[in-house]
Amino acid sequence: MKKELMDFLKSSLDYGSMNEKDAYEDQDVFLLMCFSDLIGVPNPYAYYMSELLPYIARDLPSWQWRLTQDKLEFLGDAEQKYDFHTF
Amino acid sequence: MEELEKFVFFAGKGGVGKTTCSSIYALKCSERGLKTLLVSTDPAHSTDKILETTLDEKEKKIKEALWAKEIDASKEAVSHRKKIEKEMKQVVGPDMMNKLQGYLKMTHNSPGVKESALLDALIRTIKESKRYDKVVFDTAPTGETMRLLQLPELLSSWSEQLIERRKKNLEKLGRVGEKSKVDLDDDPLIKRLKSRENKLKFGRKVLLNRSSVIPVITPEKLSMLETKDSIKSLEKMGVDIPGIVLNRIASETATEERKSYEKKILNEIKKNMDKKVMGRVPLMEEEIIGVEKLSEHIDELDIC
Repeated sequence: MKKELMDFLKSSLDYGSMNEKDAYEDQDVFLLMCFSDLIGVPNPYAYYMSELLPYIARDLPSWQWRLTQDKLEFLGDAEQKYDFHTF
Repeated sequence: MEELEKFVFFAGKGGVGKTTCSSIYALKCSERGLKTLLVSTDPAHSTDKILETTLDEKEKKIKEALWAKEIDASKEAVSHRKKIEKEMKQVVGPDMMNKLQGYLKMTHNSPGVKESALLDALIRTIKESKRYDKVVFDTAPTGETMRLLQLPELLSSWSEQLIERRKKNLEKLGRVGEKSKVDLDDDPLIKRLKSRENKLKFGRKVLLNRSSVIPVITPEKLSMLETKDSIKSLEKMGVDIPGIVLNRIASETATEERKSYEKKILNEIKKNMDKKVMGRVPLMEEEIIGVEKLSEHIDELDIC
């Protein structure tokens, strides 16, 4: 009973932004595994991964933004230098 | 006479005689009453020239109980890309569509695409081969054959990881509320990943359990050494290699030096490769071209 109560209190105080960040990070890693060549890292499975494009195409611009602007600032102006596909 | 599995692959480096041997074998099977399909996967499409006909993706009857077709990896890659583009058009706007099309063209032209596309076409051929008793492939040089067989292994574990990640991802998003009703089984992305994984697993199952791979060797030291290595790596992956076929054996009209050199190599083959010799096709004055000439060599293969 105590555990259930603690869990309830914990989740009610859970700041949505914390979970959101976690969830986005996971999705970012997933997209990175599939579409690394979109940020210049060659991916030998690109042919098979491209089959997933119709399902995640809408997430790509924000994903790219998070990867290049949000965390990896040095990649910000590398767009001109490297083979990026940006959306 | 050794009976091979339903799916038979002739392996070996380029120019060693896979097209010739696979054609002779396919003819032999058809003459024994087995409904046979000969599949050319060779980018050079020498099977067309050897059968003196033109082949395409549709199965063509060559003679009684023998059909032939060819698999074109480039065409396969193009139709793969077009299918994705069609699905995408329903989801994204024209601006995004343009950029994604550029990306797709790039992924479908990089090295390694031919192997992936070839594997897909191979799997489809196998799936659609219920009406045949025997399906014979003249696979491209050994290196590619090996990679084809390794792909299902690598991709299977790859997609398993992706699915796990995706599941975790959806669970978290579910708590966040971006997708209020998170049903893992209905997620189209997971469905797509699963179908890709199943396709490759099916291919692997057939390649490891219902296939015989027959390396073709010419009586030359280099040919023997290269084949020995590839046999080892193929068998490590669980491929069944019941024996080898020797091609371009010296005939009676060869010089004595050639005949004795060949005897030496054949002894080394016996010693080094613990493999039964299941066929001996001689070096002819002219190339073996045409169904009639191919038929003359049917008895030189001890397999069916």
